[in-house]
Amino acid sequence: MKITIQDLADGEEEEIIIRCRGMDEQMLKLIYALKAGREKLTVSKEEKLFQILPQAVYYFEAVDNKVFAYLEREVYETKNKLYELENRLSGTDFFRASKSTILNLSKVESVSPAFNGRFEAYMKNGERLIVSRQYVPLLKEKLGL
Amino acid sequence: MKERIRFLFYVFSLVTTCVVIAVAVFTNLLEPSETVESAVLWQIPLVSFFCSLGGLIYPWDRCCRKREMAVRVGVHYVYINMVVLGAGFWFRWYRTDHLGSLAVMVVTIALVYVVVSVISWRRSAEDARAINERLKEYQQQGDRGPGDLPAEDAAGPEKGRRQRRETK
Repeated sequence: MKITIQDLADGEEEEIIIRCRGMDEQMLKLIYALKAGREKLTVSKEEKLFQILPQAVYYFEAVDNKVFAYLEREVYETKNKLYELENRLSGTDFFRASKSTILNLSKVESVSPAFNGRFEAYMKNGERLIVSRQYVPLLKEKLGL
Repeated sequence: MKERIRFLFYVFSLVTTCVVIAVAVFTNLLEPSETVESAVLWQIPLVSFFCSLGGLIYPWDRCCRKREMAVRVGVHYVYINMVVLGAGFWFRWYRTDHLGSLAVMVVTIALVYVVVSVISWRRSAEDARAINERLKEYQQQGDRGPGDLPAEDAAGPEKGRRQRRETK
């Protein structure tokens, strides 16, 4: 695939034009990734609102009908539902790891087997999370296994 | 659902294989002069099927704490013992008037449980190794952003005019 980058003159709007014969899955993923990479998430902490890049998030977790975004050290609450985040971040590094968590694959250090077909994901910030049996095939698929 | 059925089928085939081996070993060791009835050919898969259903006791799509997991493992093990001992009693696999016969059954169940668990664990460990390898590749690919263009392309635009950069 040929990649062409044009530098813009001052005042010109940034634009991405995709020239392809058809929209296959890979192309759709690329578009989602481009969109998601630019869009910031609105999160809150102690009644203050913040905008964060999704790439900074290690994982999302739903606890008691609230969804939290876990960064390297900080935790923020987001008003998005887990399934909304899953849809919004599809085609990016994020993947559903269990009914209550979405993990950022780029922040996973390694995985090790847990009991009964599950896996334990070791995050780069030292946290450990479970990838449940249902979502292990999705993880493999995402990695092309 | 498809994945769940596949997982159950995998456990079923593993349990059936282990039980057939266990029956062959114990029959030859303990009662080599005995012949095994042909009915055992459908009794073993039937019991293995009910044993593999016990795998549904573990949460499929959610995480659980270690304590909850330990309780589920205990319940699963008791369930398997009940199924095998119950079926064994019904199909007369062991003698109820002989404690040694019952003990052999209990040991066999424990051995099959351990063997199935070890095989499943090794399979998961193999999967984890493959996932970790691909994970490294995936993350290395992800690290290659626009900043990693070939040297001549990454040189930057000439000032004052539109520049076209191409990579293949």
